[in-house]
Amino acid sequence: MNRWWNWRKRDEELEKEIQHHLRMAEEERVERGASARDARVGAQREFGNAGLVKELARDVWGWRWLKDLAEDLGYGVRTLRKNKGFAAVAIVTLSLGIGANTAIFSVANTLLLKAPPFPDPDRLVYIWGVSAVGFKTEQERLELVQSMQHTRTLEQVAVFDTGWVNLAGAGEPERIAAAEASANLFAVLGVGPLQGRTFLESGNRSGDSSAALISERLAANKFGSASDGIGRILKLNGNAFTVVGVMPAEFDFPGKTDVWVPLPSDFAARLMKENALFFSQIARLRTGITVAQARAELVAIASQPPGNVRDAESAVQVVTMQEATARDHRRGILLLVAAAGFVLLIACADVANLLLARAAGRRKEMALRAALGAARGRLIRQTFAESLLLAAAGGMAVCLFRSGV
Amino acid sequence: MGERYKNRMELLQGTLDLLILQTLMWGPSHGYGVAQAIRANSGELLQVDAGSLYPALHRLEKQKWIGAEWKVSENKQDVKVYKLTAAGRKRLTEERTRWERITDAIGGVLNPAARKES
Repeated sequence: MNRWWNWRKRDEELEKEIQHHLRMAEEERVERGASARDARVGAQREFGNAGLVKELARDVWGWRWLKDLAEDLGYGVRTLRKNKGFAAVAIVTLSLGIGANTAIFSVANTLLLKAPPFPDPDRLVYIWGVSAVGFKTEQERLELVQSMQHTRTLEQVAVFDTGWVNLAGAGEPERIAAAEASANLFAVLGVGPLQGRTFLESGNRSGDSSAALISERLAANKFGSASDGIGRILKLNGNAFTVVGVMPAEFDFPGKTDVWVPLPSDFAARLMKENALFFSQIARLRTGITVAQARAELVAIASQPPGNVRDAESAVQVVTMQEATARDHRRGILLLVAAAGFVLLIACADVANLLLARAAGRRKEMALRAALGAARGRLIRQTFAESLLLAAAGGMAVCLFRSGV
Repeated sequence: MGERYKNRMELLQGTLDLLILQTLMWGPSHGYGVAQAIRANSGELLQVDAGSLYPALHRLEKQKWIGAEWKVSENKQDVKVYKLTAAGRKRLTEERTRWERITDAIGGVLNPAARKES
């Protein structure tokens, strides 16, 4: 077996072998009557280019490329160190290009590419357009929403609303992100609590009306740990709620909510009255049902009593969760991705120009290397190694910057 | 310079292996010794340069046809000494047969009449 970690030892042995060869040749010349100096020069001349002999012998063992790579990289480091100004400009240029791209890509990744962090995310849809249509009373709308609970195309429909509430009763008063949600929100999303339970599901939701769920983040901040949060009393906008469960940190729906309270059946008692008209519906499609099928059914329901939504065909929208997240930003993000791509392209062109300018000044060096026996491919590889170093350094600079921020 | 060595290696490829194996048949030797023996036994005609010799020795070593051992010489130098292995002996016989067949064949082509007579 030819193990790569043997190469250093083999290299030393090769060197010794060659030195021995030269010494023997020298001694023989001395015996034949040559002067010490002539003997040494003659032996070396007969032997030829020792460096090249070594390279050819290394080729046999197949680890020459490794040695060459190490040499190229080492040489690259030395060259860049000698040209600090050039290296700094090239690295900064590249890191700007790379940094812009990674930043934009991470945004695009979360918003456009990554699936929402719920089981079977493809089946999660928002239902829009129903609440936007004017209703005389909240009760009327609730009825419509409830009539949507029993459909052929949707497993369950959850209703929620978001806002800010004042939190008291646990350390410093604070304004936190809150959501009022129907008990089935967690079932629709397919996420269970980290500790305790979620809201009780029953026809009459008022039984659980003073229960609250809190985020792991809030539990850790206020009570030290998730399990310590259960049973605590929180005052939200002056109303007392009992913490019945803690949601895992990775559950962030809707948005960065810190407290969830049940949506009461009586809308008048809602905690966040100021935005009473803006609540959202999220539903899980039954297996095998398409968005279009679900939409057709919902349009039919909305246009009948009690909804009687005029123009339901154009008002009702069913949008997958992923699309909903991306929808507002899609064009903007793609534009940014393209722009960042061009920034990188320009950065590359700049660095290429710098390298070109420097290459013109390195003609002599290259000629010397060629004269000493460096093959054309080897010279090209060496410059590639330098470029690789620059690129790696640029990438590293971005990593350092990001971990520092 | 690289070209020069490469051309010579290509010329000697195959025959160089045979020459080295045959030289080691007479006893273990170091690289320089092998080169000198080939030169001496060919009447100074065949000069194996280092750029061909050492890659060939290492190639044969890698193929386990020759073994290498480090010894200390009379003047206290570390010397790498090569010797023929059992596999190398077998290889030598094969190489010799091959070489003889090639020379016979070439001889036959160059001198058809002589071949018919024999």
